[in-house]
Amino acid sequence: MKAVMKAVRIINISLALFKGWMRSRSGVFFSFMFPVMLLLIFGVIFQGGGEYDLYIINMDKKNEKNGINEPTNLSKAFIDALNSTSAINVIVVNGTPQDFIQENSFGRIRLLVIPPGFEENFTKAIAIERMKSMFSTVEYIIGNYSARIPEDALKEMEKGRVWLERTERPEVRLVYYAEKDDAVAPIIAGVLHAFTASFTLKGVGAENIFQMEMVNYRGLKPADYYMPGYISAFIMTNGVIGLTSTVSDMRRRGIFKRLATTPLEKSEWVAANVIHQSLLAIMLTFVMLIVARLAFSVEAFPNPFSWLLIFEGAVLFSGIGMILGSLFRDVEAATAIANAIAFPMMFLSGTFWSLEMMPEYLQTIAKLIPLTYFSEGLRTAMITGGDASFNAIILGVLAVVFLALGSYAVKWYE
Amino acid sequence: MIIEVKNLVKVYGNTKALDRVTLEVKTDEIFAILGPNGAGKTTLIEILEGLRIPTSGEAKVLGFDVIKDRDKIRRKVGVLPQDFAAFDRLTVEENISLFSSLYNGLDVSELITLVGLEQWKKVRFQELSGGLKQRVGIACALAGNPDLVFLDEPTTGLDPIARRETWEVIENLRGKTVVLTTHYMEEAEKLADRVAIIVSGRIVACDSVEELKRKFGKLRLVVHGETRRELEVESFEEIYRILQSLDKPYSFEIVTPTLEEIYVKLVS
Repeated sequence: MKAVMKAVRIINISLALFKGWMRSRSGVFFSFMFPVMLLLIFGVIFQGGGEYDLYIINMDKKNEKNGINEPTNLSKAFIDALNSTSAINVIVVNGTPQDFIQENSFGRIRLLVIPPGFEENFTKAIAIERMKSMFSTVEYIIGNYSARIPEDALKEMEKGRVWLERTERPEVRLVYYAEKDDAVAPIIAGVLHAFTASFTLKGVGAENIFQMEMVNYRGLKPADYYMPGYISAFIMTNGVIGLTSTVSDMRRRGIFKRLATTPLEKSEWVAANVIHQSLLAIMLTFVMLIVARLAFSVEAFPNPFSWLLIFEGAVLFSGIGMILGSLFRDVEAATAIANAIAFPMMFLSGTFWSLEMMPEYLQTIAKLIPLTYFSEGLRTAMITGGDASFNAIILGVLAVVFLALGSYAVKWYE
Repeated sequence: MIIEVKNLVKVYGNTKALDRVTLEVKTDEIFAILGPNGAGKTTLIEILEGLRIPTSGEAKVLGFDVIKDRDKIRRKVGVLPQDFAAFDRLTVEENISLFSSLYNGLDVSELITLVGLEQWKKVRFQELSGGLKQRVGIACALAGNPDLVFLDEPTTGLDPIARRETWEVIENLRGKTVVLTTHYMEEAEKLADRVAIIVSGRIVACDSVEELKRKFGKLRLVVHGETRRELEVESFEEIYRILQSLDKPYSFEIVTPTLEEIYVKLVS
């Protein structure tokens, strides 16, 4: 009977906390809407399409009868073929390269210029290459079967070879403008090299003999990275910032003292808060999963191990919130301290960007932050399906320690 | 006796909040602890509620020791703390229901009716006036159907109408033992069977209002003659003698002492 009453009290306090939270617009916004907004915004921003913009100025034009200069057929075909690759998004612009670069100097510009004479030079060069190819066959025949070839024909062939040797093949020039420190510029240059080689092969009538088999799979996208990160970060803020202000406010307004003069025990109040925070964490996880699935086709679903991590995170950060809330009776001061702890923790723990991108000393600091183990563990368990047991052990130990400290710190009465 | 206090002392740092307080509260009476701000009223009441530990002395509440059995005391008494606060975003009904569920206590609608909050039961606590909040507090204090109720300054900060409404609610609690602290004389006079006056942590007087008046107050006779004369007298016999000794009949009035006069006298 005692145990039943205990459970009833815990559930009723949890429900009261939950109802209070549900009726707080700012609480719901910062616990649910804000992380969902962040996921949508950053998921879209960093999603990208896998294509790089390449501006092209086509200066290879010919005079038409009506007096208007039109791009040559070959330069147009070149641009169309380039645009049909999935790697580059071609944007054709007019004017001179200098003017264009100057006008767009604040943006990161990659510009390909097709100079005048492109069609003419390409046609000539291809013709010479084709002839060279043909003469290499002829030379092979002469070398092996000259005795059977009439003298006159041999002389004509020799004349042709000499002409070919003396004829200079025109250069087909393309000019590629890119900023010195543009990391993407060499990638586009590589694509252009491969493309021009392929274009040349087509020109000489040869085919690429390699067959590339394309296997489509769904790779990890930014949303896959952000979703577990945001879930862990906002479970942290709900606990650290939310519970800090709750504890501080309840203490200042004497609600603890009032509750202390009822059969409710401090341990029951702590348990009710842990249940409340865990409930929020579960709801947040489901909402984020649904949004990530609908918006970014993220197929992750938390396995039992992920739920363990989520529960441990909710407990751990509730404990920290209780400690901070107990230190300050002034709600504003308590909330400010909670923010000062929560935000650096969020930014240094690899929630928003990969730890590998941070300087080494910050990576060392990150290893001391509980949220790092939470977000990393959740990412491993939910997305890559790897082993996050180390993270779970660390979080479990921290959760027990901080909950014990938090329960001790909450001042129920003198 | 439902409460017995003997030589209770409470010291905070260098300040003696309670100095050898001794008093008794009888079962089913309304007992008021009267005193200026900082006199030690709340400290005394919080020790009796089991929320604070005395530095020395003895006190028993409902037969339980305030040090050894304070967990038992806390769960058996009803408490309205100063500036009662509850869950802001819960309604009146939800708050009272929550407190009742902590005790497995009284029926919620019964409690709401008792404190006259029927028309506000669906209103959120944060939207209530000070007087209505106090009434919610009283309902929460009664949620466990306690025999002993502590009300710490139940009407402080309320307007006169709200104060009188709260008095009505407290009057309805007759049948239970009520210990209330206040610095309003009128409140103590209106509600209390007995009053203890506490000054600088010491009980300077403790009795019924009538007895306090008798012990510490003076009857006054005001004679409206050619000039107005006011005389302090010991008894009605003395008034009779004075009136007989007058050379001709004058209008007169007899002024009985007020609790406020006694309080001011004792406090100063």
